[in-house]
Amino acid sequence: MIDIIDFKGWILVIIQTWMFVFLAPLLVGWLTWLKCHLQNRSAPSLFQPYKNLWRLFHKDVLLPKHASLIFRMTPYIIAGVMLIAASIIPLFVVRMPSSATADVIVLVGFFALAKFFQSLAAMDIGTAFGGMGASREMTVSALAEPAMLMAVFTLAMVAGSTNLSTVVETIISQGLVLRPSLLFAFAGLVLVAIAETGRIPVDNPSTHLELTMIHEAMVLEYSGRMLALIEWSSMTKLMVYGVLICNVFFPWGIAQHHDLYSMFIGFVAVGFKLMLLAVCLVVAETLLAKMRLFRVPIFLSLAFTLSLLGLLSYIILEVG
Amino acid sequence: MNIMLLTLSEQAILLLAGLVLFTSFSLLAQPRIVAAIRTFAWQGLLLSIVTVMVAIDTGLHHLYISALLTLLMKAIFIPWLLHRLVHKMEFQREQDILHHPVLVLLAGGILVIFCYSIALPIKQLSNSVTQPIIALSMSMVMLGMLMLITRHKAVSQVIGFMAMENGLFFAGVSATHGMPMIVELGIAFDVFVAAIIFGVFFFHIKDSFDSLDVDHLSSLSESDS
Amino acid sequence: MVSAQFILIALCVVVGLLPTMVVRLLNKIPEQLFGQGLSHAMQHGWLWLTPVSSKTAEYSALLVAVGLLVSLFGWFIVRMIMKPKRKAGHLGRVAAWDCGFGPLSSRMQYTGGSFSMPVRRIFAPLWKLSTEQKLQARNGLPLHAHTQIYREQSDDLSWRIIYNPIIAWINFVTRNIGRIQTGHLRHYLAYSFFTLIVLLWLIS
Repeated sequence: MIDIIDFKGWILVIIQTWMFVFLAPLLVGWLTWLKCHLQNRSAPSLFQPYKNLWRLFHKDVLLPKHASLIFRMTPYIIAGVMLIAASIIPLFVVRMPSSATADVIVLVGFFALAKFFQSLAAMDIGTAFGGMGASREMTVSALAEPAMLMAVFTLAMVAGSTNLSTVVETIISQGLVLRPSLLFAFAGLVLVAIAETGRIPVDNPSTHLELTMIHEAMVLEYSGRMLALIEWSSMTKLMVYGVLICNVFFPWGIAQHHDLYSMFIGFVAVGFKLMLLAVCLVVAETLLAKMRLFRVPIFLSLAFTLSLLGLLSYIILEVG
Repeated sequence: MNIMLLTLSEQAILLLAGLVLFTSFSLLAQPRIVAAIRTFAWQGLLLSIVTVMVAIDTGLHHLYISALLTLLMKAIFIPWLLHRLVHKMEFQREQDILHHPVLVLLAGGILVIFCYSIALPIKQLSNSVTQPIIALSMSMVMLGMLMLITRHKAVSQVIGFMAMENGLFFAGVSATHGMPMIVELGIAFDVFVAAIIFGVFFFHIKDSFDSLDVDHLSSLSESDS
Repeated sequence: MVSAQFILIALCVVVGLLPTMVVRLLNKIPEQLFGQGLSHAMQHGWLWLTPVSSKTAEYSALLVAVGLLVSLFGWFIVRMIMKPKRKAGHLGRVAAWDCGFGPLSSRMQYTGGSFSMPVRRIFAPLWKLSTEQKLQARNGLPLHAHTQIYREQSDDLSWRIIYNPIIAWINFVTRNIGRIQTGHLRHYLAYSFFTLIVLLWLIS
């Protein structure tokens, strides 16, 4: 048990969490910039998401007449849960005390908590859009969670722990080992991340057609700072998944000691990895089209099969 | 046997073996015939690469010839032949009917676990680097047979049969580090002849029934079904 | 009337926040069933739940709850800071936008059946779900329908796979058990003879 009276560690946790929150719109801006250039359009500036959020924060909030307390509290709850989820992922330094309090399975639980309140708030107004968005989101996440947990189990078996800091440290300490289980778990986790963060081919994040919405349909009635908080939370969720994938499967560069030089190297390394991951994501989004909703189970069963193969590869190939 | 104790090339062998198993799974779930042929070609290519790496690792030079044979036959010639047949019969847009792909994939997973439990006693007997691959190759045979059972179109069933033969070849490479050259050449020739005969049969079936759905073959029986 | 539900909610929250206490209370059951309990779950004190060892997995429910409250409180502070920048007065209450689709009625809300429609459609083969919907009209013209019939049928998997074979087997056995009663004396003597032989073999 890592002693939680580690004052310096908690300062690092707070710094890391706020870096997640402040850099998430930059990641989304970079994604949009890449996508526009790939599609031969002129791109907005990299800091456009910040300007959008600033504008939204200064707008009035208009509540629907029959909105209840759940509708009003949900943006804050979701933002708070995303903060906590961001605090347990190692961004540029491992061995944080917050990773000792919650492991990867609790991370899945955090996302489920945010989804639960999002769906409740969506159905709170009584419009058909909210119900549609909520039912679609719950269906997708009900099918995606087994795949994600299977990938997490594979990771936990390889590293011998579910504590994210320990997982990253163990994988670094093993050096360059070509593991088929990690390859399959990586592929499964990428597919699940696409489904959970609502990117193409599961959900179009920039759609205006109600028929194709999943996440957008749930936030249709929000305005002002509530909408800003929800948009920020979804950007943070994307960054959390991205950092999870980058730092667990390609952990080289992350700081293992709490000194300034290695933390700087870790920060540069994770920034570089995230930029590369964004390039791959944008290429995939440009090449693929959005699937209709009832083809998403096939997509997610592919993710589940990959994660299951990862687990089987670990048992059959890697450990006698 | 822990993977960290192996050298990098031995780890690469295990990694490629995992990818070959993945191609077996994707053959099971692939309804489009052209994509299934392409996946089968990838499987043959990966198999020949694994054979070359085993040859480098163990120093047995006859495995190079096996790898070359596999590459020529399984990765180039038979997919080309099937492609040509499919285009000649204008089948390239057809899709095979897959009932419950999720259940089939789950059954495949259970078969892999079953084959692993069967191959456990062999663990004590063999201590080569390719010992875990024996379980994988047995499960490839089983997955090929599962593909034979669950498919309706004749081309997919032929691909399933070839995938079974791939699994047997893989078992030969992993368990005994290759078979005697006469046996290898004989099997390769048999597969070659089988592919040609299948092609002839496809034309006959298509002429009689105007479709390659093998369920139509049961309409030849004399009972009133 | 809702106070009962609130009591249950409070108990759920307490049980979730103190998992080590719950494990300690429930530990008797696996100890009696399997001979060993989950005693190392509480090895690192009452705050940490470590089922296998502290290196494998550890979880502190109270600290997570405290962190959640701290982050919610943080957003509350941010909101308080930003409050003077807003116009004075209540939050505006308007009709729901609904993408401009006009006045809402309570029939447009999603019910349980409509919420579960995608899942039901995906898992329909498992339960052999079938729905049937008919409009009935008095004068035969479909646009003058006055009644709508909706029927949904589902199959119970456990009944079909587990119970029905057991029922069939029991019926078979009960129908044929009467054959033991043959009426001939030598058959009954043979029964006792063979029982004796089997018991002697079992004892040896």
